[in-house]
Amino acid sequence: MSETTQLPKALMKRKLKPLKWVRAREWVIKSGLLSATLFSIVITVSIVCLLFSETVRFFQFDRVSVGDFLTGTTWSPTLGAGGQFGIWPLVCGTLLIAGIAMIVALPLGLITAIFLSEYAPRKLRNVLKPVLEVLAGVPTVVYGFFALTFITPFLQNTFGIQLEYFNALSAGIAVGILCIPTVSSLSEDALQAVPRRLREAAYGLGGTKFDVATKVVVPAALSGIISAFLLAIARAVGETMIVSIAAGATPRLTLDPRVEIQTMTGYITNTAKGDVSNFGIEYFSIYAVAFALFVMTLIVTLVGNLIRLKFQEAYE
Amino acid sequence: MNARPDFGKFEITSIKARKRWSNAFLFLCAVTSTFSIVILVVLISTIVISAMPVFGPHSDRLESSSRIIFSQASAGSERDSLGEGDLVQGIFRPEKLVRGGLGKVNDQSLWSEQEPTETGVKIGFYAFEISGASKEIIRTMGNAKGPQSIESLLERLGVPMPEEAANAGLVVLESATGQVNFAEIETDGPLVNEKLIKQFSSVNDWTVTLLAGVVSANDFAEIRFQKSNLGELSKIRKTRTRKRAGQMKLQMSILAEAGHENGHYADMKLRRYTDDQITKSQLKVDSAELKGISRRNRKGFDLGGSFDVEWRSQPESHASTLEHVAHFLTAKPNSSDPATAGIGPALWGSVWVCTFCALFALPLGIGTAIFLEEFKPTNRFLLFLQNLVQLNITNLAGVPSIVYGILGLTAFATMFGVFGSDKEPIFRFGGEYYYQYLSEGMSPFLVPVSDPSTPPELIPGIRAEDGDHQPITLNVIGPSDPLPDDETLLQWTVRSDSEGGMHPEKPWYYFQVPFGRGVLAASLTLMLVILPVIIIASQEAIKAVPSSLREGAMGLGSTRWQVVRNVTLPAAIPGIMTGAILSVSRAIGEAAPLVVLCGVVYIARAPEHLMDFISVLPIQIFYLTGQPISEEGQVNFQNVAAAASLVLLVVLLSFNTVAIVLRQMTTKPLS
Repeated sequence: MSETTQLPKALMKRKLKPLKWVRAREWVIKSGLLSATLFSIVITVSIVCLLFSETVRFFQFDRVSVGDFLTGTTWSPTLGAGGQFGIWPLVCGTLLIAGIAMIVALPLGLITAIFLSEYAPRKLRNVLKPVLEVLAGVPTVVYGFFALTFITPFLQNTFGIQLEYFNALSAGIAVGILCIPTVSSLSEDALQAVPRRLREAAYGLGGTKFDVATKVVVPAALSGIISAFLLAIARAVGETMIVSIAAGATPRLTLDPRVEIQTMTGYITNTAKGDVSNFGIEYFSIYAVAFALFVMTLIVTLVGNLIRLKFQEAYE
Repeated sequence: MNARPDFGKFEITSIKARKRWSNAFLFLCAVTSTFSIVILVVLISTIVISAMPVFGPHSDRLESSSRIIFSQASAGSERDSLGEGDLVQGIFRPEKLVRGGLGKVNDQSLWSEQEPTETGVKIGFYAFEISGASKEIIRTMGNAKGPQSIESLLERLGVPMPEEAANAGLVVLESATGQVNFAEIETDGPLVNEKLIKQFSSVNDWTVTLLAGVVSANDFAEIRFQKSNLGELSKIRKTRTRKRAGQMKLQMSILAEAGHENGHYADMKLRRYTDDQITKSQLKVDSAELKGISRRNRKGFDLGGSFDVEWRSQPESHASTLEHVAHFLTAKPNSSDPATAGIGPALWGSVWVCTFCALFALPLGIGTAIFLEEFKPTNRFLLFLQNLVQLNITNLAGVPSIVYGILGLTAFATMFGVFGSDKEPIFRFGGEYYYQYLSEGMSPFLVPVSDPSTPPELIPGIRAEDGDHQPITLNVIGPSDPLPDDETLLQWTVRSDSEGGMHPEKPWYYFQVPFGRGVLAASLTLMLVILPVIIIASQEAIKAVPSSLREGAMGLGSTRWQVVRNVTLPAAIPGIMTGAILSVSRAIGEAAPLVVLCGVVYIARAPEHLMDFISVLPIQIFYLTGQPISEEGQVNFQNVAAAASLVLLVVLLSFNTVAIVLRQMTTKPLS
């Protein structure tokens, strides 16, 4: 049959490529795309290997031990021979910043998300969404500058808070502002994924908009909201430029937001910003700190993503 | 059997109360949501307001003319240090303000240095009396590591705080955090502020070697001096002393802010402070690096001298705002005078990095997205693997960008140290290398070498070129031979023990492995940062293409790639482009990985090849925000930071606008 088949007229003018050629092309393209995909695995593996091996080299120095690193409460790498490497002051600074940021970002982001998803008229939505996107797109150095030149003086003048020039509070607030779009857009996705029938059933039972939003939609989307929170926390923990600019460079084991602190990311930039070519203990300490930072953010992101993936499946 | 639900445990609130709650919440929602708008407005207006002075009329701040002594006496015959009553001329930088004046050494005992202690502390005091201001000024340069105040430092050293210092309160200590933050480069002596060194550790410096007596290295820390026909300032980067054959040798690297432009001259006047006799060295700024040697006089060496430091005061500028904007966008950064500072090199750096970053990241990211969405395996195990890859990508998006910076530094810039170092790469292509000398007639010349790490041996008949690469004939004489009297012969006469400086010339196609901390490494690092973002955005766009289209194409007998090329991609390309634009704009604003990779260094020109050092806008802003605020002058570094931020925001906002418009145009459903 195949030999006698006439091609349709429209196709007669076209030169058809042999099937073998098409298959070979298909194979080449597919393997090309596959290798692009595998590149992301390569990135992850190389990050882990690199950080791990260099961290091991850090702990091979006589002056540091894993125990001191994980339990020590003094971080003074620049003191020369007397320097101590206890990571807690840096972790404390990081958590302080992240905590302040979350106090700002979680309520604001969630309420914005509820408003966008349940209440906002179309026109307001069309304004708010781009504004949030722009807020998310503002470079972090600019937020750092904003924290230094606006938030700190604003807090001092308006609320009379005694702040140091560099302080955790204004840096934390700036990080929080940065995280609002993350929280709101991810939460909004979660809220919108709640099926319409749940809302309609609740209205049918006589619920007000408030009832529907807070008693039906938010609980139904809770897993998505929690994952949004976790991703925002990871972002706040990993945020670098704002804290380098506005939070200062003094590692301190304190929860006082008015004073200068240093975060893990801040330490890495501060140490690496000029010359990291000297392969001394300070140089390797940035790997150890980065490893700790990576593990922290990875766990939070992983949990957040797993929750989100699970919840996506539930409604699709 | 009770079929009725038990309402007993529900508290039934009145409909009025519930409505009130509902309204209150609506109000709260509205207020909160507008908060983000308020923040955006405040943010933008803060930046615009603080950027205003840069673009408005202003005059340049530096007006004084100062001199600084740079060395005292020879080690052999004259004196070892300044003595009481000696006149020196100093430059002082209390609170970042450059002041100069004639001074007198009033207390020799202050002219001392403390030995390094076990904690790495070293401190030196220099006492000057400024006659013009008729007040004591103590210049203190210390080397203290860690956050300590100068008082605690002194206490630990057991050194009493000099009364003069306490009275004058003009202790020169500066760092962004107000701490004593000095670093030691060489063991010879306490040197320059750490911040300064880092800022200037770039390729654009050249080295001037001066034969001098006992050196007080600190004096050089922050001297600026003028290039005669430019009126531009340079900065001394570091000083180094080295003992050699009975004399001390002072070396200092001077950063030439305009120095890379061929044919410009820098005037350095060397003056012996004892008898005011001036010898003059003129250094031709020929390239990125130049090494000159001071003239030897008949008796021996010029043993000491002072720099004349002059600034031309400039009148109030009457340039229009547009001219200010143009100047700001094209001018070099200026770390001493915010009024004339610009962001030209950083802007070009951003353009280079983003272009290459997009070139690498877009194909890779879109390819990955196509594979994950369109080539879904049917095999269960492979499907599991694919989900794993998917999870991996989502997690990569959450990795702090600074971690990518560390990865980029190790993987791209130094390549794990496997292929040699950044300075001595295992493979290089396209560069030409010279050693640059200064002849006895004060003319710089170049000697081409094949191996840049070893200086050539100066022998008669060696191939040499002048500054314009014209071949010259060298007259090589021995270290102690008399100089020829003939001026034309003297011009290309050189002693065989002269020391030269390496001077590379790298064309646009220069390439090396490892990549070094340049454009290529930075672009690849940013690619790592934005790759997950591009993948996820492209996946979303591809997912949004209705599967009926795909199935239709499949039904016509297309292969998978034909479906992708003819159906999916054309339908998804607007969405992909939106994602691509947004992620590239993220790359433009990203600073953290590049701070780790490139460092905060002073870059005075746009990159010229892929391995060239760069600065980008966010790094420039980061650097500027770290500069102390001075009360004087109409323009502050904070204003410059705001102006640079404004430029960055305008770029990013236009990117965002394009993306948003693109999306709005294509939100029509496809099915």
